Amino acid sequence: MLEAAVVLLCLFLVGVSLYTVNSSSVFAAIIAMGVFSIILTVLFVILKAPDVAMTEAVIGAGLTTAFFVIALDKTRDTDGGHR
Amino acid sequence: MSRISAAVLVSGIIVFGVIIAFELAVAPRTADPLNHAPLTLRDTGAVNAVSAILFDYRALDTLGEATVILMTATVVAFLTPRAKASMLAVRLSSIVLYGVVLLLPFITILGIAVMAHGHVSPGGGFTGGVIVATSTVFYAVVYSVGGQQSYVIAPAANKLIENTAMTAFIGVGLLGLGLAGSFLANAQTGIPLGTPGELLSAGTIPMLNLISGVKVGVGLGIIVMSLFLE
Repeated sequence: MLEAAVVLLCLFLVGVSLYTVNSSSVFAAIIAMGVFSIILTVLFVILKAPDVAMTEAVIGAGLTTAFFVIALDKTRDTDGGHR
Repeated sequence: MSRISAAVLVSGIIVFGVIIAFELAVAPRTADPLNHAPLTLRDTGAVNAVSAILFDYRALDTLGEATVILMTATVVAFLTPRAKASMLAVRLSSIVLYGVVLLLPFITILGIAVMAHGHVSPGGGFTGGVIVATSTVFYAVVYSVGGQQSYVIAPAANKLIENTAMTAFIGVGLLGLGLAGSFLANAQTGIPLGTPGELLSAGTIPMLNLISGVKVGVGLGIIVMSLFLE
């Protein structure tokens, strides 16, 4: 049962990362990276690595997404419609 | 979907399938990875083996990591122009605003709790520090960037705290050197390891946990604030 969950989550990871690569708006890509980190956190918990899961959750979903959103917010809308 | 990502997807799934098939069919079941915990418990008194490794066996590496964060914070703070750069208008609806305001104290307390229980429960210095840094982001977003009121701790004090935390980390190391002849020593220094699982146990590990937690929290706080102001 657990292996099925792990395989399913890994496929979900691949799907989210492909969406991040191909999504048209940058903002959606940033949010997709946050989702990627959340799924990774769940995977780490299943693999019995709570410390890594906590670090990944806090940094991956928390700070990295915040940094990217701030950076996106500061870039001027020069190349037309990058939002 | 462009041709490249289709190719990536297909090749990824094939490789992934092969690994899973190999794993399920052929690979022997390895022993439970957590069976080395009693050893670290005996040496360092820390229940959380990861913290034992981070702050006792490989404390020098953690010192290196702490220096990296210190350097990054200094460089980023150095590159921030004095003139207040404009942050595109951040209009928060009142629900978000008051939600965040209510959330702030709990995030900070959670961060401190995770830091303090580093040697007992998962998480530890770094994770707790990052949680505290996240509250700096919330604070800056809610109270509009740059205003004097928007700092959890004034920038000058931020830098002071980080530098004192860095020297404190080295101080604990020198303490180990003095008492036991090896930098960042823990059990050999004769500091009581206490009964495992208690808050005040495992010698210098809780000290190092708190110090590195404060350092990461304040250091990332500086980085975030510089990013906002830049």
